Amino acid sequence: MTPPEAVIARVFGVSADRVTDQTSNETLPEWDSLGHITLVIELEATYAVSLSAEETLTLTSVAAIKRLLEERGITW
Amino acid sequence: MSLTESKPDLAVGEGSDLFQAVITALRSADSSGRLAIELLARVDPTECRRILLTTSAALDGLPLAARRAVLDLVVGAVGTDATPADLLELDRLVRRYGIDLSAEAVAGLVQRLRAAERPQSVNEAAKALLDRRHQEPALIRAAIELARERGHTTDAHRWLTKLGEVDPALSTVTWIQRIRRELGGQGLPAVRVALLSSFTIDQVVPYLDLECRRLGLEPEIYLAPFDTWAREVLDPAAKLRGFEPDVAFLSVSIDDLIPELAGSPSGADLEAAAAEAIGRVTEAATQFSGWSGKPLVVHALHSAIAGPRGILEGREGISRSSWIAALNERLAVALRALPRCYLLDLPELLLRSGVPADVPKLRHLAAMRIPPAAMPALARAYVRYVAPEKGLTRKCVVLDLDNTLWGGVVGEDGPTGIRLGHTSPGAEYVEFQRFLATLPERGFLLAIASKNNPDDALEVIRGHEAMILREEAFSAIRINWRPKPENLTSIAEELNIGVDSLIFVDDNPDERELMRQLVPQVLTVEMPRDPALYRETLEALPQLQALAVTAEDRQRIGQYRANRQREQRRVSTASLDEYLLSLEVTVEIGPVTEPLFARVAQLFQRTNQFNVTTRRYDVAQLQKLAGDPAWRGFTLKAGDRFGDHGLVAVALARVGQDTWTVDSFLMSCRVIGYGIETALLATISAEAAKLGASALEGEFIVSKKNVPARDIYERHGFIRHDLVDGVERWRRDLADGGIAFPPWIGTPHDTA
Repeated sequence: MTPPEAVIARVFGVSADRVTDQTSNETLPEWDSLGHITLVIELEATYAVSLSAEETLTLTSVAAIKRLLEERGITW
Repeated sequence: MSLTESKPDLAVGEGSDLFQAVITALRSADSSGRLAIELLARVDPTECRRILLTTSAALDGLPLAARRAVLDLVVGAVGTDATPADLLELDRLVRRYGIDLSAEAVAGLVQRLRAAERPQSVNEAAKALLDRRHQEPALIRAAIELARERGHTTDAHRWLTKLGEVDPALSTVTWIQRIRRELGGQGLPAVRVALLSSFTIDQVVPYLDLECRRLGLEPEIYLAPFDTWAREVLDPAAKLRGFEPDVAFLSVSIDDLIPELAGSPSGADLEAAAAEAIGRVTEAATQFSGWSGKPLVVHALHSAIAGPRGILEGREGISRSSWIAALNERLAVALRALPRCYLLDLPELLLRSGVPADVPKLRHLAAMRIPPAAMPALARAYVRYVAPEKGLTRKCVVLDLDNTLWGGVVGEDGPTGIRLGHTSPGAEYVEFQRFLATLPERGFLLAIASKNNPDDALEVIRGHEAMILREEAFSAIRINWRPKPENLTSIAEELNIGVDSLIFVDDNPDERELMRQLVPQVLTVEMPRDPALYRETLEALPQLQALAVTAEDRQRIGQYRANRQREQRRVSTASLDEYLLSLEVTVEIGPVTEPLFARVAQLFQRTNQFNVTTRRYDVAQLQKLAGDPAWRGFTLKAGDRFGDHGLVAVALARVGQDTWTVDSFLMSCRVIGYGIETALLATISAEAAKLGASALEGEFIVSKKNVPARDIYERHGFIRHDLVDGVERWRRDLADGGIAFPPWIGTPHDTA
């Protein structure tokens, strides 16, 4: 399956090497609020998960996204 | 993943045990080679790459599947940190094994390596792969990258559109729109679209951009700030007026207008709220009409929230959905009083696009009222208004007959054998015809362009009981064996409209390609394989929408019918040859031998149209002839760049001392028009000449159905010299070198 870094890179239109475990909405200027909604839509579609509003608000870094997917038992 | 942190102290390098282990693993057919390399790649990526590039020398010894797997790994190991030596080795590999590389591997190289360091062979491999797999998103992304590097803006835009068609994910179309901004203008006619909404509708923007460009328009889209729709329309100083939209869309959700709907409001409250809601929307539309004069499309009201009474909805008073429908009818009446306001039936669109009615999280979190999955359908609905406003409405739909208006081939199956009627297969075509029959009411003309014997086809059109479209439904009719581009050009002339007013509908991909190449101004519709989908394919066409139908439009149709005439005009031969060359037709001609008897006999049984004598030989007879030196049999297999047609033509000749006689010559009508018959006749003529014959004769027996083959001898320099018992005898001298092989047709011999 597509790794989360690739989904994030695609959503924000940046090259894959700019997305690392340290990437977050603070380090990536393209990660704005509208982009964040796009990211949520794409994460749900890619990994067939349902994210609550509260969860989506915490998913502002690559590390947090990976942690949540791992908690849901999703591998890539 | 933790291996990188605890890198063990392994000896790598040539001659080491590890190196040998990798070679051994690679040579084994199972997946252990792959695993070994993946492990090594984690331990020491640089060393891994070096080993892989060195090991690749041993690739020839590997089975194909293993070779492909290894190649992908090798190529995947080449990144931005590759040394010049690595790149040289990569170049050698791609040159030698490019054909075995996967699309992902090649596309990855284009993405990872900077233009300056990327070997030219990689670019070429990407292009070659794309020719064969033009639906592959990774390759299309690579093509976009290459076009941008070279500054080929138009190509880049074209590939971006293609990418949006094959991969319509929100992230992809968003990325496409961003890249287009960087690329700058495409030089297409501009269109200005304004979006006003009471909720978040940003996600439709990249899809709308894509759909406009698919129509050949360059959009500028103005999205009014969140929930400012009323102010934008009313305030003369608002940005909307300065933007001067060509078309505007107003989407207001009833859940925003009447928040109480989430509960169970009383009837009186509801009525008051409804009156106010309709009043607000109508007021905005009136204001817009007053200063703009351009079309305003208003979403019909819809609610994401189900009615409050459960299964008693509709039992205790009017149901929520019926109430909303009644509300929309009131809105429609109000909008009808305004000159250019249209109601977009959003509840219907959501129902048909098969997406969830509601995405509660996004409704709360992002103030969305329309599910993101419905955005592509919404954008397609929008451009059905944009196209006619920008003058893209066509005037006439030109239809093929066989497998388009009915199932099967009338020339082969007969008027009673075609599929057309109440049951499937056949009912799909009736429904499609019923839809087409409504088009004249919207001001569109219908016409026919079909390769058929006119008598066969007209028998169905006039006499078949299930036929909906009779002769008088068509403003122009071309049923003949001429190339279709020629027929469409002549239809346009007869109707006194431009070829750029025509829409061409044909199930045959080859005919469509021919039309696109020769008359690109004609809109050639990409028809689905399944006839059940024909109707919705045309329904969705923006070029079949009109913002208004005048009495003159309807009258004109009657006039065309009255003075229907048949006119013919040839498309220039030069361009037809060019097209044939571009088809890359290849033929393989061989004898009639053992494994082919069944297929050859089947062709003899089935072929009625392109068949010179209609003599039916069966397997037993063919077996006998194959062993008889007085006979020579020929089979022809054909293919083109779209695929393989298989064994499609057969000829039998009687061998004489001085003269060979064509006893049978038949060809599937699927391949009429490519000059394949010339290739086969040329081969017979060359064989005859080689064995000392000085003339070639051909026999012809006229049947009810073999009109398509009627002129075959005449076209190839034969002269009719005899007619005995209904058998015409045609003769051609071979002294002039015989019949020339068509230059646009290749043979396996050419490519070897």
